[in-house]
Amino acid sequence: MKLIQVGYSLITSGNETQTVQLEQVINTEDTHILFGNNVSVGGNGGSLDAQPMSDSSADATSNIDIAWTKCNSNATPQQFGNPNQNFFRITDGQTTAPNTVNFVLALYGWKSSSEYSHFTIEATGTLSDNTAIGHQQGGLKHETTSFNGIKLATNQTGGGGFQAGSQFTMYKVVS
Amino acid sequence: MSEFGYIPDSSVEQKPFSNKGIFSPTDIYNLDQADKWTPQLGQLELIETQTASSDSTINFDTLGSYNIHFLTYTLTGNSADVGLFSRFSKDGGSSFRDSSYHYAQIRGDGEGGFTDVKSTSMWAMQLSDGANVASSGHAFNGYVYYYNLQHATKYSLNTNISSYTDKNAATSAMNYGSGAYPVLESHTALNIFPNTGNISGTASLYGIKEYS
Repeated sequence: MKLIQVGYSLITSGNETQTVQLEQVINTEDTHILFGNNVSVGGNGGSLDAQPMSDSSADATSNIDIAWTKCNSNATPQQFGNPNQNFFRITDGQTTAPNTVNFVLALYGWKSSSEYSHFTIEATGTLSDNTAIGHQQGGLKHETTSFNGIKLATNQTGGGGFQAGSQFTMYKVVS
Repeated sequence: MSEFGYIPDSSVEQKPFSNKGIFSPTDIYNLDQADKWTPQLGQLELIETQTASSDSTINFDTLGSYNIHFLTYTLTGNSADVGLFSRFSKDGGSSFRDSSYHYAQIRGDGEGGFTDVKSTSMWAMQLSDGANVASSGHAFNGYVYYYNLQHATKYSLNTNISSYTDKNAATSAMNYGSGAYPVLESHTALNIFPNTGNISGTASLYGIKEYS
């Protein structure tokens, strides 16, 4: 198995933003993997959400289903099922550095125009009290549109959103 | 002539995924050494594969230079009630941190039992627990993503999933979840080890490289 980098975004100081778009980076029907590394926001409490993209347009149709488990080193785990969403949530509980969120998001069939777009997520991070959290999820988008990118967004406005050092890298998985 | 001696004029900036020109083997070698050549083998880079034979631990004392590491393992052992754990070292593997780990996992078994297993003050990051790996054909199997191990200003984190044989019945069991070491320090080595007995088998550590 090889990973071939196809997209990259690093938030730099002075360019904090609530939205990151990796556009036109999925050009084959191979599985793709997006890593989020060292992702922090400018205030305590934030979510990190995603939507598929076709060229420069994010798809906001309410047909994303997701099932997820949220683990916490200091609390009982939670399980959720959310049908008919217009986005999927990679994680909540985002906060300020040195607490960060890190994740691997695997994308299946996103480029295909005959299959639904599936995804799995493994996320880890710490809350402001250093508690470890993790999200393990699976989901799909109920349409056969060919997608070639992804939009990532946080609802946290403090400091402008995603903070400097937050990094997103997309790879194509090939044999 | 450019810095590396290929055909284009020196105004061409060579960098991964944007190499321009005609290259000799020497040019390619020089560019690769300068980290400016488009990697042909991808960005999942094997750091080391280790083979254990009735050992108490597997230590990876070389981590390369990566933001994200990926570990795979398949390990038998000699205990019928054992867990698998991971620790970090900041002195190249001479000693390993043995407190302050957090983990948050779900443990499931083939008979339908699911429990949450967690701690905010653990002596290691748990990967598996309650396993029987003493019998022939039974083993720990799984993978771990480690984040920010080598950054002194970031916490070291992981996600993990494992499959093994449950200690109470000959059914499958699994753990999945995450872990954190919320101490600001740079790590130079990691290990995996059983809390009792020994392990035999292989574990491979990879680095996941990214280009800006």
